Amino acid sequence: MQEILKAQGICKNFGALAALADVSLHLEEGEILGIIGPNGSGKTTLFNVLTGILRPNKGEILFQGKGISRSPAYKICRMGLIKTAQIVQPFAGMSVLDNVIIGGLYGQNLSLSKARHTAHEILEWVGLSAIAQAPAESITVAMRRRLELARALATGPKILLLDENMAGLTPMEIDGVLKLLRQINGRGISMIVVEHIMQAVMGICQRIVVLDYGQKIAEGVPEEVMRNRQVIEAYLGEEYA
Amino acid sequence: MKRYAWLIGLLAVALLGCLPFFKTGYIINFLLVVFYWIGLTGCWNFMSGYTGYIDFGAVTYVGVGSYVAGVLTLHAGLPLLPAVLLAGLATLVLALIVGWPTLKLRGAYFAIATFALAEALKQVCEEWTSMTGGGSGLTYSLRLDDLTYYWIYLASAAGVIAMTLFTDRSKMGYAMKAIHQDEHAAARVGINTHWIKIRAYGQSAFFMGLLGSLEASRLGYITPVDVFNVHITIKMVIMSLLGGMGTVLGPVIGASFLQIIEEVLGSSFLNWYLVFIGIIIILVIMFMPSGISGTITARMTRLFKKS
Repeated sequence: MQEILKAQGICKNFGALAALADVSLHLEEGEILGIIGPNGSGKTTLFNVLTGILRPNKGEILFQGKGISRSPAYKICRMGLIKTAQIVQPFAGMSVLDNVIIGGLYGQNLSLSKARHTAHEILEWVGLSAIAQAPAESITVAMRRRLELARALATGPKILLLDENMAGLTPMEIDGVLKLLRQINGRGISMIVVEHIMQAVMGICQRIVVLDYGQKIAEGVPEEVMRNRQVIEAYLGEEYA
Repeated sequence: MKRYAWLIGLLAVALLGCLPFFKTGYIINFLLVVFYWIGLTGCWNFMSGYTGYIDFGAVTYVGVGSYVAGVLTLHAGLPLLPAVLLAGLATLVLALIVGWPTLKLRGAYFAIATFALAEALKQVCEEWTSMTGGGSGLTYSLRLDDLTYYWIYLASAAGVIAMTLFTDRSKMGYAMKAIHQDEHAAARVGINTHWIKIRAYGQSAFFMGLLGSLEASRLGYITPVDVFNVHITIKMVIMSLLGGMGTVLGPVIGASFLQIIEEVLGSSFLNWYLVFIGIIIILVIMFMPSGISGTITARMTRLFKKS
């Protein structure tokens, strides 16, 4: 299988704090990779580095063989790599539909009418058609998560990075999102999923990478990783290992 | 209602265009000034109202336009309208040059940088006596007749508002609003925020340059203090705020409203009109924060929902 994304030796410092220390990972085309780790382990920072929101201090990122560690965020989005934010904030003062239209307008460089058409399709797909005209700031958190996902999908990504998209959802809602993610993956979109919810991670990830204090401490199929001593230590402390 | 916006606008412009055939003198001169301020405020609103990047140095382009056209007609012997066009081009180029670095700064710093630019250029015009006449000012040798200014300003105001309406509903409008709401998110979904801001800034500056140079020719005599006066920027800001920032009709409402008040109060309360304007502005901002346009839109939405 083709390697669609490769991060090599990523280091990111915030002053004296090493948020990421020599992190390397790769994503195969069509794969769903999970990234887990305790809070503060650098998962969101890694996503920000991959999508060009932050520049790494060291290391290289290759998207379909092309180096992108120095590319601006908007270019990386247009190339086909996008992330959903952990703290979901749609564009206020606009409708749900408008939010998704923007994704298509600039992410895929569509005309206004094509972007509108695509937006309607995507809203249908994620189940938000009913509230298409609602002001984006007036919808519930669960719907905002879907909107964030819809907006990201509108940019026509090849790789979708999901940053704790399922936090705070009920088990039933989580099942719904998982079903949607499998459909998205079915359309050929590769994904990296950052999650704390084990049900989600074990459910759809083919491989998992574990971060702790900015370093990669384990990598492999879910069952292996869950039994890894270091991983258990990181999450639960030494006595449970 | 929205679909007929163009038609209603065209009708209003046509009616106003015919007015000079029925009335002359005071009302024409008054409206002429109102149109001028609708145009200027429309330019300011196009950039700052939509993107949220507050330009506190907008008068730069009024001033530069005034002086470039003045110098071209006086020293290079150009006829007025080509000089005005070149003045617009000069302000466009200046805005692109200035915008490129300053629009990488966050909002507050952009406001300070543009303000500083206006002050700096005022000084340049004061010092460069051989070119600009320095503090003694520059006298325009060419002028159009009063009625022509009426129609040009009407057309300009209509043009700027039309440009705003068109952009508001276009791809670029989406980008500007997104930048205003959340610039980082806008970049994340593929918007080249830097370029969109520069483009808005340039478009705004171009028309300010045109309007500024036309007005300079109408007044006939300009000094650096006149045409680089921060009060011009302040008027643009307040008219935009009053009418509703980031709306199409905001500049029309705000400029008309404030000019009428200035006219009414100015003649009877010569020393106090600034105070009254200040009070009125505070009241409007306290009770109608999204401006007159925003409040009317909200009321109408509520009315339509009830029915």
